[in-house]
Amino acid sequence: MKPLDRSLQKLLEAAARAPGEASEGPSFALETRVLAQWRSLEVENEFAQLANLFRRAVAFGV
Amino acid sequence: MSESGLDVAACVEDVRRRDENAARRLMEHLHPLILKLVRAHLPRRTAEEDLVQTTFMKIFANLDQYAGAVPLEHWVSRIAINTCLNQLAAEKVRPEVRWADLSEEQSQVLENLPSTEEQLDPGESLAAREVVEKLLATLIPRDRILLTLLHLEGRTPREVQKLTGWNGTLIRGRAFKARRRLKKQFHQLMSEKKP
Repeated sequence: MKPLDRSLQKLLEAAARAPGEASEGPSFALETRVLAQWRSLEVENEFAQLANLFRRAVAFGV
Repeated sequence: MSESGLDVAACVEDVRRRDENAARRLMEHLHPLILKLVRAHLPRRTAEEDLVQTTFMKIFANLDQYAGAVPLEHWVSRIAINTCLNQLAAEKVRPEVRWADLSEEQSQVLENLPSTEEQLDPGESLAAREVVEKLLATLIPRDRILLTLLHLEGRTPREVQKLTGWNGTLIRGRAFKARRRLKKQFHQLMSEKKP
């Protein structure tokens, strides 16, 4: 292995040993935002289903 | 049953039935995994929590498509990694690393590299990590993510395959080319070092 390649290998190995940051649970703000978006997704899905039903009803009517 | 004592399969079923408490429990269970992946592959200009939020939204929006054929954590990892990949691809600028941009600790680490046959001092690992992240930021997103998984997280190609869903042959071929590109960047940086 060339000296520079060995240096890169050492650098990568040292980087892999770096301690990770502490991982606490999701913040209240994050939880609230995700759940709010999830709820709005549900409303969007229900609206899409209603729109589909309406289109079918119109198609049958015509 | 998971290590945290959560019955994941039952929890997923409850989330599908729109149970908000179950959604909270699932978020708490998956948060450490997602945060770890996002921190490892975080694009330069994106806030960590924004990317975690986007990942959670994709999980909840697509949970009905999760068939249970692979562990939930693998399915979630693929979503998290692809979310980072998309964000990295959107950030088209990949800055060069110049010696002059390095901090004192970072340049010290590089200067110490050739002089020692042994591993670097544990105290230098954070600066080493910062230098490697700067070098990886010069690569295209897939190369960056692949080398992070293989060399910083110490994953095997098989584990990378499970986490990303990428083909095994593609992983090995891409890893070879990515390492060559990383070497090129590293050699260029070291050539700027003052004698």
